[in-house]
This record gives sequence, structure tokens and C-alpha cells, in this order.
Amino acid sequence: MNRKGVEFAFSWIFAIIAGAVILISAVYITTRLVGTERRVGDTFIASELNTILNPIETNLEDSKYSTIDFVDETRVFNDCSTAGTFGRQQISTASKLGIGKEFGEQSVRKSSYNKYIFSREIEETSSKKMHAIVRPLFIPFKVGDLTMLYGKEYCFVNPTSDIEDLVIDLSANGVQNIGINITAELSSCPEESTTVCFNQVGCEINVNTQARIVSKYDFDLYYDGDSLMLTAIFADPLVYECQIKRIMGRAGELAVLYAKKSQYVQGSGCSNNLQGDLQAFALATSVNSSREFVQNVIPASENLEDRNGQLANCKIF
Amino acid sequence: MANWQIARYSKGQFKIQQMVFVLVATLILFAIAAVFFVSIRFGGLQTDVESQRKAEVLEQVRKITGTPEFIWSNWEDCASCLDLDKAFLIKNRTAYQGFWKDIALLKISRVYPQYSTEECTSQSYPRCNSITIIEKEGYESYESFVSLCRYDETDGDIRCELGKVIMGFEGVDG
Repeated sequence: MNRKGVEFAFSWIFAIIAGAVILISAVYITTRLVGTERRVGDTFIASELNTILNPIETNLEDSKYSTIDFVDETRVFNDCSTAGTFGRQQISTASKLGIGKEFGEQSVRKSSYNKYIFSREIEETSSKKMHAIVRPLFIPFKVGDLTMLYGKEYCFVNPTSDIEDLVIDLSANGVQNIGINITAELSSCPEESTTVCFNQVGCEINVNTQARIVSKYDFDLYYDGDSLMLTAIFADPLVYECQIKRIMGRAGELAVLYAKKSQYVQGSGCSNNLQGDLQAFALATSVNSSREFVQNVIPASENLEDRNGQLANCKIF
Repeated sequence: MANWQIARYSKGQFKIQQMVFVLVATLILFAIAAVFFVSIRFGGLQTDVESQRKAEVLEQVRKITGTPEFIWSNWEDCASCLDLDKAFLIKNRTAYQGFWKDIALLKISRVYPQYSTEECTSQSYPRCNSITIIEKEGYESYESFVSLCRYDETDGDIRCELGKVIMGFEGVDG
């Protein structure tokens, strides 16, 4: 009987199995390493973003604008927490590598207590760029810097003259693209842009400057002043409400600090009698929403500003 | 004649042994390469984290006079003025513990004039030289000159003196 067959030595079978195991392990480890490296890279981007937002914070300036360039298309995750006295701002990123269509895993979050970033919960770069506008907030003393971070274009329809002047100023008379177009007609807005109507309806975001309300996604966000109006335009409702609570936490602590200063300088012969007003202001800062902020904090702030303004050399702020 | 028993291996068994040796050697090589990679990568990570912290401190020390907790707001045109009274009063505020993240040292020192008391206390303030708000161990510090402003009862007016803000960042090991 002729039994013809292929001779397949044991050593060959062993080599194929061992080779396959080694190759699969190598591919697995490489994939994991690439993923880890990507996450490390994104964590550094988040950290760098946090650091580069420092120089564009204001000192005595009215407002500042800066463009942030990313290496790849990037998502910035804006997490806001109200836990503790000052709450917490956390940012993380995820980038899109050229070889993949999907964004990578969210990086480790970088936390800070003294930053207030107003953006969508997930903000994406446009052409690997992101815009940042920083404006100080005074109620009535400086409470912090409000950072507006946005990647996509916005179209402002009939904005107030102050906002128009601000946009022209920040864009250096239109020389620099700050991602905000101003038009008189809604139909003139670029298709991709987010539309913002001032004192009229029909846009994705509608601003009522009389009632001091920004309406978006069925939410009404209350504001006072141009700085907070802009932040309400650029931020998601949850982010805005959270940041308002955080800012109020800091305003309350600063009011306590100023009350102590008021007491100290009064003891040094500098009469001011502001302690009561500062303590009342500190109490008013315990708010749960932007509506309460406008109703309770703004009148207390205006009163405090008047009282402090009447003092000559003994001004507390 | 000695009772020797010579082990006789077949050709197949010999090849398996050879293959196992090669596999073990390959794995050891991979392991060594991995150890090298990890040590180099983590060495680089440490440097990167330290440079990040340093950059953050440098930026913060530049901008410290603009932060609400230290800003001197009585005049509108003094970007380098720091409110010394607020700086002293913030020292014991528990709410501010941990507020400045990754900062291992935050100290405000008077450069001129100098007083005999070094650290400010409620008894010695304002006739003292420095206010230490944060001080942890193991830091690298940077300084920035500022004007320390406060209401002076003897002058009956605002007085500004030369001072500096010293900020330090925590090393990764420290």
C-alpha cells in the first residue's frame, strides 16, 4: 500500500506556533504602547494648554486674544466641578492621528482652581487651531479672568456696538481672524458657523440685551455685563452655570479677605465702614444659578462699588 | 568497565531543545529592550513634567500681581503693584490651602527698607520683611520684583516699597 503524505516535522509545527505567539504578542504590545504614548502626548497637550493660558490672563488690560495651534486635530474636554470652596477646572484632550479617523482616548485631566474656561463641553479645533479670548471680571473688585475657548466659527448678527467694537479691536481691524464674523443679516452668515442673534430670534443662540438673557438649547443663561454675555455665548449651559457658581465661590472668599483688610486699615486710622457691606456681599454670593447671581449678587455689587467709590485714600479695592 | 549510561537524544528532541534556547534568548532580548525603553521614556517624562511645572511657575510669577488675591486696585495704572495687606491676611485663610496647584513656595519679601523681624506675624506686621504663604520642601524658586503697596498709618497715605515675589515649583522627586 502506497501511503504518500507530506512530512511535517514536529520542529516545524513548534516553530510556527512559537513564531505566531511572538508575532501576536509583539503586535499587541506595540498597539498598547502606541495607545499609551498617544495618551501621554494628549496629557502633555492638556497640561501645556493649561500653562499657555496663563500668559494670556489679564493684568490691567481690558481683554486679550490668542490663537492656540495644535499639532493634530484635537478635542478639548472642559470639565467643571463645584466641589469645595473654589470648585475645580479640569481640562483634558484627545487628538486625531493622521493614520486613524477616530480621536484617541481622553487624556489625564489637568486641574486648576483659579481658571474659568467657557467653552462647549467638548470643543474641537478647526484647522488645528483654537481661539481664546480672555476678559477680566469685576464684581465690583477683580474676581478672575474668564477664558473663552472656541474652535468653530461664530457669526454675530446685529451685535451691540460695544461687542462690535470689541471684535474689531481684538481682530486688529479685521487683519486677524478671531473666528467671529459680524453681519447685519442672518442669511449672510457662513454655513458652518454658529449663529448668534442680538435682540432678535431665529439663530442657534439668541441674546436679549434688555433682559440680560442668552438663550441656547432651550436654556436661559442670565448675565450681567459684556464679559459674561460673551461667556454665555461660547459655553455650554452646564459649563456656564457651573463656572458662575465657582466664580461666586471665589468672589465670596475675596469679599471676606477685603472685609478683613477693611477692618485692618480702619484700625490704622483709615475709616471706611465697608465691613458690613462686604459681609453682606459675601453672603449674597451663595448662589445656585446664573438667575440668582443676577438677582442677588449684582445689586449687592453695585451698592459696594458706590460705597467704596465714595472713599478717598481709604479705598479697599 | 564503568557503568556509564550515555543519554541518546533523537534528532527531533535536539531540535526542540535548540528552538527553546532560541526562544528564551529572544524573550530575554525583548525584555532587556523593554527595560531600556521604559527607563529612557520615564526619564524623559520626568524631565518633561519638571519643565512643565517650571514653565507654569515662571508664568505665574510674572502674572502674580494681576491675580485677584494680590492685585492692588486703588490705582488703575500700576501693573506691578501688589496689595501687601491682602497678602498678609491671606496667609492664614484655610480656604486658600491648595489653591495654587504645584506651587511649593510662595513668598513675598521686602527688599527695601529692611526691618529686624524676618517673618511677618500679627504682632510684627507691617514692620517685618517677609510673608510666607506656601512653603513645602524640595523646590526650585524664581523671583519677580514688585511694588508692595499698603495704607501707612504714620504717613496717613498709601505707601509702596520695593519687594519681590518668590515662587517655587515642586520637583517630581521632591
